[in-house]
Amino acid sequence: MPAAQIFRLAKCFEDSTAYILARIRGTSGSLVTQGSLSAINLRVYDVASPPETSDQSDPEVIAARDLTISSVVFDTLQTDSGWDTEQDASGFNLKIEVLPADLPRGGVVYRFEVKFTNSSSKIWHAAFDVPSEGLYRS
Amino acid sequence: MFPTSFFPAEYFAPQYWGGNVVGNGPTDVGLGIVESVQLYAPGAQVAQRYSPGAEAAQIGD
Repeated sequence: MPAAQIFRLAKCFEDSTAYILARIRGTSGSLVTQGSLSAINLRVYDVASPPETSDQSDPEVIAARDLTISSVVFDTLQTDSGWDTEQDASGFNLKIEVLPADLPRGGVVYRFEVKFTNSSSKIWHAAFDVPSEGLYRS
Repeated sequence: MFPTSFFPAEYFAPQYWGGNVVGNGPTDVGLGIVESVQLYAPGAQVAQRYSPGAEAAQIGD
C-alpha cells in the first residue's frame, strides 16, 4: 500500500521562479482533471523555523494561496515547461509556479504543501521539499 | 548575510521520483497519488547546459 511521502526536489536559487511539475492521480486511480477537483490550496513553510506560537506546532508560513484549477491542472498530459522526457516520457498534469516570494532566503528547506479537494469534497495532500541556494544580491 | 554554502550551486537537471506516493496521514492513503514529479528551475537549466565549470562559484546569502 502506498505510504505518505514528502518529495525532496532539486535545489533552487532564492528569490527565483521555478515550477513544480507532477503527474497526479485521484481517488479513482485516474489522472486528475480540472473537473475532478474543486479546490487546490498551496502553503509554503520554512521547515526549520520555530513554531509561531506555543500552542501551534506548525512552522512559519511563508506563503499561502488558492490555486486556480484551470490554470494549474491539465486534462491531458503535458511534456513542455521544462519537463524532462528522458526521465519520464508520459508527462505531467499539474504545474505549480514557485514564486520568488516563496523562496525568500538561501540555505533553507521550504515545504510546499498542496491541499487537494476533489469534487466529492474529499481532501488529500501532496508535499514537496525545495531546498534553496542563497545569492549575494538577495 | 552569511554565506550558506561554499560548494557549487547544484545545477542539476530536474530530479525525478517515481512510485506511488500519497499525502499526509493514514486517512489520506488511497485518495491521491503523486506518480511523478520534477522541479524545473529555468536558471539552473541554463547553468547546467552552458556552465559546467561552475565549481568555482561561491554562493552565499
